[in-house]
Amino acid sequence: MKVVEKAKATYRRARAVEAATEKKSRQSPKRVKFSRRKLVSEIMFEARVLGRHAGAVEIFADKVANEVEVWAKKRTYITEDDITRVASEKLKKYDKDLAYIYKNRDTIV
Amino acid sequence: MEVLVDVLVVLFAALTGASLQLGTGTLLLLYHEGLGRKVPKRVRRAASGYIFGVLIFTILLLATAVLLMLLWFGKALNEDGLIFLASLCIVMAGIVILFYYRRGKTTMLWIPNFMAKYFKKRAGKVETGAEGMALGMTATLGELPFSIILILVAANSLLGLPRAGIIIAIVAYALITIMPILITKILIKSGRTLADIQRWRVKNKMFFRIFTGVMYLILAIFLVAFKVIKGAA
Repeated sequence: MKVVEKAKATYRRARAVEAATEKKSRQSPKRVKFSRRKLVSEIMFEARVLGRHAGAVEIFADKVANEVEVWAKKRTYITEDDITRVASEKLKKYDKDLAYIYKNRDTIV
Repeated sequence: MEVLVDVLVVLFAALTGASLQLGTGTLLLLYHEGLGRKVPKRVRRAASGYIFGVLIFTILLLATAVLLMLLWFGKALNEDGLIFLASLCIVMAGIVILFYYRRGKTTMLWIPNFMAKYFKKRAGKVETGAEGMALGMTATLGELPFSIILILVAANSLLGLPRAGIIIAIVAYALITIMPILITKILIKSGRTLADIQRWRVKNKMFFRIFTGVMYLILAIFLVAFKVIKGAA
């Protein structure tokens, strides 16, 4: 019986933490899970917009994705804006125009 | 002298319409979404259709305004109507200078979020010239809250011109209004990237904001000085 009560208490605590996280994500910009594939495909998309060679961009897109993944793993709560900001900072080292257009892709209109 | 004033009013109205940014922004969105999806040939066709759509819809709107003014009033507006238009121009000048652009290093406009998302979604789905034309017409419609005053002011001045002159002036108005969109297409075709164009737009955002506001004020002054006061005298 003690084991059952302990399990119930643990379950209630876990549910409370989940509920608190959900409430926070409804109040502030939406929490997202970092997706390496999505980030690389977005960078490749913007590279095509600028007419960059795909092969060359793939090389540093992977490097940028690795760096952003390392950054994201250290954080419990990240948003789409955070990923965009950090990825564009990392992209600046390789291609300034690509970094600019990636950062401002949703601010044209 | 009267004809010169009317021509100048139409010219200033067209220049003010040309400085509005929704049309240019939507064209850039079209290029952004199309080039990103690896369909440059279709994008070129869609962009031509887009420009044609903006041109045709602007001509239609202006011609309709002239026709309705002729049907309802029989001639150009009286003093009360002109004062009303002039005061609307002054209000629009304030709105454009204060609110037209959103804050920050961006060219986002003061349009509802759902509208901005709609334009982005439509720009991504455009594949043919006809769809580009429809997008151009939609963008012109989206700009209507800011351009309707210009169309009414231009329509009022057009009624003072000879019949053949009205048609030429309507086409000239539309051509001047689409000039920035045409220049954007030519720049992209000549090799400029979207990043260059977007940086330039952000850098000159303050200039466009002040230019558009001042042009609205000039229109108001022209209406009051040359039509109301001179007409009363």
